[in-house]
Amino acid sequence: MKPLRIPSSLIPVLLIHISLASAPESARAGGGTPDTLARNYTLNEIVVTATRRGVVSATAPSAVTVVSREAIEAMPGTLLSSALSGTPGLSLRAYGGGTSLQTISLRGMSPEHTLLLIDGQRYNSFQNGLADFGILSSSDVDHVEIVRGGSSALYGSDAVGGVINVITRAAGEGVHGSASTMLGSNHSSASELRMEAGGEELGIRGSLRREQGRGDYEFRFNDGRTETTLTRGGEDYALLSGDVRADWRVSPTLRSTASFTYADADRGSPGVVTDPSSNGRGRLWDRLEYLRGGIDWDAAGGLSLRVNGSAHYGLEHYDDPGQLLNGSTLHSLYANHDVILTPEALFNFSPGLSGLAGVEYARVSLQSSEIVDAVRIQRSAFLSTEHSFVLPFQVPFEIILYPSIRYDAYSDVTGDVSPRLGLNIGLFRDPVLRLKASYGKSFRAPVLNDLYWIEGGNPALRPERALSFDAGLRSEIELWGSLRIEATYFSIDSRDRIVWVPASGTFWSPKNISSVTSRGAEAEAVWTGFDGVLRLTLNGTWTYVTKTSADFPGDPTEGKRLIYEPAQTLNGVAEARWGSVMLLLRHSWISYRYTTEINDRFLPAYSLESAALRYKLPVGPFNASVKAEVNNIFNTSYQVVALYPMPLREVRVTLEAGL
Amino acid sequence: MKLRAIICVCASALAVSPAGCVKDPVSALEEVPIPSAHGVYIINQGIFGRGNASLSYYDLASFRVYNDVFTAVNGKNLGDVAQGMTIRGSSGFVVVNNSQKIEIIDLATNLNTGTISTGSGSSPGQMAFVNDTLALVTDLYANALLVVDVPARRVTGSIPVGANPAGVAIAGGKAYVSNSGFGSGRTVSVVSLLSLSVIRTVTVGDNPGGVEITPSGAVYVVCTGSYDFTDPTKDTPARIMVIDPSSDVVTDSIFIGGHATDIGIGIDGIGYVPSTSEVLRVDTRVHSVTGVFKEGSYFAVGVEAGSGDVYLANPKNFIQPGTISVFAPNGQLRTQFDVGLIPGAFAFKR
Repeated sequence: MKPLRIPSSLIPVLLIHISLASAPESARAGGGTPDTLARNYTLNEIVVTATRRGVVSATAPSAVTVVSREAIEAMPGTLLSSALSGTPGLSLRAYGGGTSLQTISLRGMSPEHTLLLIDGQRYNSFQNGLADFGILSSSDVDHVEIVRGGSSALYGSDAVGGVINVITRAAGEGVHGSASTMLGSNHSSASELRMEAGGEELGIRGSLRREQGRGDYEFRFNDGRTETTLTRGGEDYALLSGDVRADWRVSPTLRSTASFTYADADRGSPGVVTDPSSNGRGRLWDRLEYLRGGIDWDAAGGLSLRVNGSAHYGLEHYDDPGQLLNGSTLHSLYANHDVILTPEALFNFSPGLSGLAGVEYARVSLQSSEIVDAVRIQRSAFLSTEHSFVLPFQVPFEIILYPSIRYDAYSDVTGDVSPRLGLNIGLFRDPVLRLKASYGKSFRAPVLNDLYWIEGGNPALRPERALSFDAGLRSEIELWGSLRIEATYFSIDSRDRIVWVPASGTFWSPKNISSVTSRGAEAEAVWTGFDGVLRLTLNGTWTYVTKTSADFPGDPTEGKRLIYEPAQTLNGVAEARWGSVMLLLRHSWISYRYTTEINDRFLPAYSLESAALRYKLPVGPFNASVKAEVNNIFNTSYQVVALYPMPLREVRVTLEAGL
Repeated sequence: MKLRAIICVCASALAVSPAGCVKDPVSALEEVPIPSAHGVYIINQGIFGRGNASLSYYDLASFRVYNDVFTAVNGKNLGDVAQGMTIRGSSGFVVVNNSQKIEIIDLATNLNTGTISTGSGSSPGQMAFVNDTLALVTDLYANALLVVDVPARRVTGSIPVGANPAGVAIAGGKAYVSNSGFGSGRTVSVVSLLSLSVIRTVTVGDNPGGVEITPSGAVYVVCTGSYDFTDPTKDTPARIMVIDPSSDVVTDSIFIGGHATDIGIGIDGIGYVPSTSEVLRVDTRVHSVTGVFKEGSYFAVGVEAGSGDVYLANPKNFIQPGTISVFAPNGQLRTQFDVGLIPGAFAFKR
């Protein structure tokens, strides 16, 4: 069994590759790295999100899941959410099929308590705290790091349940181009063009993608007595997206990157189905313009300087021609602008002491038809260090401490200090067994909706606060291949949660009144065998999320479970790669979810099975592939959110050819 | 051979990837009521978008409360956002707003005897019967009254009215429709039942909502008052505007204060108006407020004709069972009981 820790002599090499949130694949392809290290990477990916700097996942203080590019390409579906939905502790809420609104949450917290980063930069909307995964394609994603547990000490607001960091792809070496087209059920289709050119110093990559569908899928409607098969109406969609990224290695010690993402989504949003004739005419129209960039300079003496920044423009319309207000149809408009700048200094003074210190500045502005125009300035500072101690024992043999602290100040709400202590103990070398634990404070600042909504916004709101604790064991053993097992217990106690309640009996207003406790456990086993030909993943999550406060004496919702949070989820994935063939089978089981705060109604448990088969073949100078996939193989009738029916079986075929 | 082995292992992996050990809860079955001749239906809106509207029934012979009556008897859900229930003959017509339908129940058994679909995109609200075969239903976002052929159980047409109609009542061969304008309206459309068209538009107070006919035949329009969310001190107060159906002019204006949306009127002509923080007693014979009936904030009111008892609905925080308080006309509390989510209307079976 090889040691898990990266040799300290290789840390500068790693820092080069992990800087600017680059990929573990990039690190593997970096050349010259010893075989032993490459082997370690296959089990122990380098993750940047757990510490902001880069650490082998086995030695991170948090439970981390990395969804690789290979896994994303193998999964059925074209949205990022499809690739993430089977990971431990993660809960996906889909409001329909196709590219309908989708949100993701971690460890029983709400979607607005999960921070989404794109290339390390905050993506959650400052307006409503959410990220709509319905318009995020997985096409240009290199890999995704999911760090579970409170992480405000590193990332500030919203990182209560955890952090999802989506890292986009850099150009590979040489000149390549490809085109793909997809045809699928419910009149769905997609086409995509990709070009990339990369050399030692400069790499440029670009893609353009269009996806559309009528969304006229079949579903089963059950009125409580009889079940009929109906066709969903009004859920058509058209999504146009493009992405450009340039990486420039100015010198061996100076690198820069810039990327721009554009998306335009026009989607039907027909609302709930409560009756066979239900067919709303609401529409969502989103435009995203997202510019990101960074400079990374390795100064002398183990010091690196890094500056990352982003400019984000999000425009969202909601129209409903069926709703006439004051003689006009309903039309809601939200225009979000935000600029974020994050300079950081990374230091690696000795094998036992490394870390980073940085500041962050954000300016946010919002114009809306329903919210008072608002501007928010955020100023933050953070410090995170890593202290590694080799012990003079065989058991345990190593302790690594990860103290972090961050202060966030806002122009319009109270700021907060978020400390956190992470711990990783090497218990056994062979078989590998490590203990991970963390304890810290997290928070969520009130969003602009809460503060400035014209009809009842409350400017006196305070941040929501939470205490997070987790502890888990991770082991790696050789068992007819390699087997990684990780199990973690977690608890999150949140208070001052913001809840919209009736005010004066006539309109609603948010208040800091609720407390919620989430307790649970995650367990995952990943086995890779037959020389990497076969990979099996099994994971399960048990979550018990309860409201622990009473809004008033005798409140019957006290002690009840939060709505839509499953108590248990189980996932199994079998992935085989044999020559030119890839076969993936996936099974998910989601337990019942309550749909009322008093827990008297629920959506039943359901299981979903899907499969994907890909065959790569060279055709003349082209590299061609065909991928067939089936979702919901057994036609399960289910809803993730009450009254939003999900599609029955769906089939897609994708053809791709490239040079 | 290798591929076969891999496929076998994959299949085995999925076979051992089981269903979880957490079982679905067992739903408690609601008791099926045995309705007597007299009782009170409480129409619980349910939480918007969650399809948990329900009917509760308070039996006036046994004084027992039955919740979720529609589901218990019919085995199916009522729908999303039950707006009101109108009793005509031996049937009750429950308007289910966000399900775009009207469910018909037999009052003797609570069995579902039919459904009237109001059409995709409609937003049915209040229902008033012209006669046994013709009914009118407000359609909030279509700025229209839907014309319903009751025996055929279908919508046969619509009558354009003002913006966002909220309430409807029939008097003197005409329908009076309050045009809320979703807060900004100030008019009532008067619809001829002969021509089924608007023959007059009467200016009333800000944000007209509930419309009721008093025992003496006057049309009472509860004007909620306007909201200024950026500066609540600029809100305008609630008023009741009194329309004389013989002339269709406003003959009186009763100051209520706060924001009121509903009025319940007994056969003795005494009305009860829940406003922001109190329930006022209004004498419809002299068109004036005669005092405070109860302190507190209530969502809906109804008056039982036989006893004159006043039923007040408290939805609490809108996510838990609401409470109904029943008061004698002298203000004495007779009983209190929990019903479904967001009780918003009453229908009295006599």
